[in-house]
Amino acid sequence: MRRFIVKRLLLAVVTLLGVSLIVFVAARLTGDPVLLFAPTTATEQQLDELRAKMGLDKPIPVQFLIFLRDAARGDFGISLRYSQPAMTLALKRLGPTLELAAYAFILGLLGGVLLGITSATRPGSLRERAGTTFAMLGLSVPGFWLAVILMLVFAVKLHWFPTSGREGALSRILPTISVAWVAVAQIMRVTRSAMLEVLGSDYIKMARIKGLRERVVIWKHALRNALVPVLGIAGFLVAMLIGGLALVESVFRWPGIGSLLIEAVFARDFPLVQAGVLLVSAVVIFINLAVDLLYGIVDPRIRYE
Amino acid sequence: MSGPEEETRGGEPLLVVRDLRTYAFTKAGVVRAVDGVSFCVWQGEAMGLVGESGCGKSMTCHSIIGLLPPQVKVVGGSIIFAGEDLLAKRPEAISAYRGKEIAMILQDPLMSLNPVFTVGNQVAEVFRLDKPKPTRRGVTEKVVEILTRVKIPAAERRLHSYPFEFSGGMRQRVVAAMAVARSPRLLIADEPTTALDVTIQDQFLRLLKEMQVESGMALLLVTHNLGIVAEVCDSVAIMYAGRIVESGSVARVFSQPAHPYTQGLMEAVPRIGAKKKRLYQIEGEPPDLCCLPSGCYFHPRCAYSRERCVREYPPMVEVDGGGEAACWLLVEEGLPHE
Amino acid sequence: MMVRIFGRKSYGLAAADLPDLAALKRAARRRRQRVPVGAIILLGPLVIFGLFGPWIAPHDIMVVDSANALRPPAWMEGGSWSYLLGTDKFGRDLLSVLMVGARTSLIVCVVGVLFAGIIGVVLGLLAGYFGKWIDNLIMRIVDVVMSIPGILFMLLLAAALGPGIKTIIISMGLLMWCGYTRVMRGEVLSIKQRDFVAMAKVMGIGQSRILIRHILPSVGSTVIVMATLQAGGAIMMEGGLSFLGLGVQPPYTTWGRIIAENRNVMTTAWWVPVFAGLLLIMAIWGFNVLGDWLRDVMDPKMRRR
Repeated sequence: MRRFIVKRLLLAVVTLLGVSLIVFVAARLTGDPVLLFAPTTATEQQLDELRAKMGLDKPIPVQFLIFLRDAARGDFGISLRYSQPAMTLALKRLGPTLELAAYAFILGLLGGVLLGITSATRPGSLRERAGTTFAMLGLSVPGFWLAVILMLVFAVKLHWFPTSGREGALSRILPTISVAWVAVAQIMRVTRSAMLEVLGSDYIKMARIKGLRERVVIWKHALRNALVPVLGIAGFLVAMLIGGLALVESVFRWPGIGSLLIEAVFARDFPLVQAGVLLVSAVVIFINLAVDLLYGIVDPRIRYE
Repeated sequence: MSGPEEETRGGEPLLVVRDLRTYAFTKAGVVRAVDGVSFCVWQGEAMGLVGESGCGKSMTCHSIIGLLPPQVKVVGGSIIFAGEDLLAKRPEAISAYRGKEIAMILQDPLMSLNPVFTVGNQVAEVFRLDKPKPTRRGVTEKVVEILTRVKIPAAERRLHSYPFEFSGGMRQRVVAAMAVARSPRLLIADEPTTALDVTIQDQFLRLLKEMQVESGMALLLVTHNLGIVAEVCDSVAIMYAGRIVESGSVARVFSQPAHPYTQGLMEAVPRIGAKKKRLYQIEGEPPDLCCLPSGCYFHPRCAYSRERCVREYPPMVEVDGGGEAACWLLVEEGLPHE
Repeated sequence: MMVRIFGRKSYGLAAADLPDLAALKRAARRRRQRVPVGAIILLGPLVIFGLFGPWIAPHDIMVVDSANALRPPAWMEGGSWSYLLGTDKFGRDLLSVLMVGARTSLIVCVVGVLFAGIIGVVLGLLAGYFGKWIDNLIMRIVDVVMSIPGILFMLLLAAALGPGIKTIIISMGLLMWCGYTRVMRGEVLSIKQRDFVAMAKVMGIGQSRILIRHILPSVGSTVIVMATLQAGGAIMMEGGLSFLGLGVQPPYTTWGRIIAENRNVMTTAWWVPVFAGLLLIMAIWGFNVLGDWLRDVMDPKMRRR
């Protein structure tokens, strides 16, 4: 078990380095990278200073090491727009995004698993077909569009919810639903196909042969196995949720890291963009690591590989 | 219904299956998986149900225990267990029988155990169904006891192991332990050794026989392997295309097979020291259950088929020496053929 | 003869019990689905408008006509039948704009998927066939790319390279290849084990020849299914990015961009986001349905029957 944990930790670190590399490369795609990091008012002398600090005259691998060294110290550049350390700004806005992501995930889990079980245990029924269509739509409707429509109908027209901001419990509802739908759809699909496969297996038949009640068979034996693949997509789902939230935050003017990044792109504030992307990726990697470790607990076979 | 040595049997049979019909309703048509099967099993008796793949022996077992897939339904006949017709009962009532009175072992030991729960947990589940509900310690003791009984070494330590940590033979023993935990009166074993190594097969069968004799339960053993039947069973029924074509005591059927199909099966068993160069094989293949031949289902492959065999399905008639078989040759000439 | 029902609906079909039932079911289902009617209807607008849009559009969209701005759809008060779906804030007929915009949406989607597909398939083949460190390296890269939520990756590239149609296509290509790679790798790995490849090796046929002539054909159908499903995601992503204003820039327009352009008048001119969004949904849904249908049709187990 310990080897498993160490292996996964190492993998997470390597992945994080990889993401840093991508961000690093992205900054150097244009001709003169320093322009991304300096305000438009900078003088030639200031630009030269910045070039020296970033080591732009040195070979690329050394630049990357400088980049990593600065990152280790927490220095991700100064936001051009706010004149503050980029990472500090990003960290402040991370909380609200994670809040919505958590709600959406829980909603997705509850709704998706329940729908998935109903769908698998009562194939062909009206409930099941409605559920499947609902899920299919969930995968086909863009999050931002749903956010727009929900806002127009429920906030603007009906005034049931605020149109923007983070005040009050009601303000969380529309943004959460906008991203949760996709989560419900994905989880339902996975749960359904996993349940169908599991229900056809011999050990389920064996459970019935032993005389266990149907409820125990489904909720103890079947579900426990079917949840394993759901856990498998959990990491991917979180990445998707946070990504989807970026657009939704923009629609609802929710003060999260997604909307911060969007503003930063428009303001040509590259240090902030860089910090934001790195931070979010770090969060995703961390969550993936947690999921992998959880996998080891949930499926005993993994522990011994 | 006849059974071998009826004089030694007391009272009624434990299980009487009469004219059981189980059909599968598919979009491509109706598949008559079990088409009029009748036999009985006495308490303490081991009966073999033999046939090639697809002949309906598995379906018969699933019908008895009441676990058929959605499109498959029992459309006729009766299954009388200890005097009660199981088919007349509601599904909820049947689940009370499962585990307690009638138990079953399946073919693949790896798939029969839930991979995410420990072996101890899965065996304990069975005991927790007892009424009155036993204590935690009581259950653990019983689990250790039954695992020891099926010859799992160091049972106490293995309670917390997962199925994948066991070998195939040991897994099948765990399954057997779960099956006999509550001392059922009937154990149905659906090809229990087919997925095991040959060397393990023997061990397992011996264990099965031992448990059967010890507890006095009835055993219905489904297999395609005549050798197993010879070793373990007292009586046997041969199935072909959804029907029973011959039944009787193992001694009689093996030494004097009456039905041409049975004769073919006996011929096909290789014998060490035999002088023949080629192994015997029954010509042709078993029929597709969607489109069965007219008359006797075996006639296309039978060396002795007559005009009557093509026209009409033969009735079951008694055979000299005990048992029955369904063949026109017995009706007309009254003697089994060489 | 009484029919007695045994077993309940929740009992899954155990395929091993009835060897022919599962295949019979598939054959029957395949007969029902000879033509994917749903997909054709859903994808119709995208394809027809995409190919013929500029020629069949009833109005010229290059003309700005402020007097006509923000007319509601024809059946509502203030609407007119010559502007069936209303007009946008520049006074352009919405239907015409949508028809013309389809073309760019379609092109971006197709080119992006192709780009991603080529990268993904090649990498997947390499990873699966050569294994060992190449496989490891490629899969680590996949991990890294998948740790960055899609939209954020696109934001990063938009910040580095500036918005525009080129940026979208490049970012799609660099983002969407992972799916192909994973699937291809899996297929190649399983085919590699099979006997006919071993035979080819024994006969001394060169590596690349084995790759091309023996492995590629088996894998082709999977790639097509994957590409179709990716196309849906591509349209969704392009829509999202354009909605932010960071996608295609004028004079090009896509369905996402139309929504973006009319964002500040959204609360009154609801018809713009609604109709543009509906077209987006139809296209995405259509690709999903088509992909599923293709997957059923190309199931090799069914081809043999």
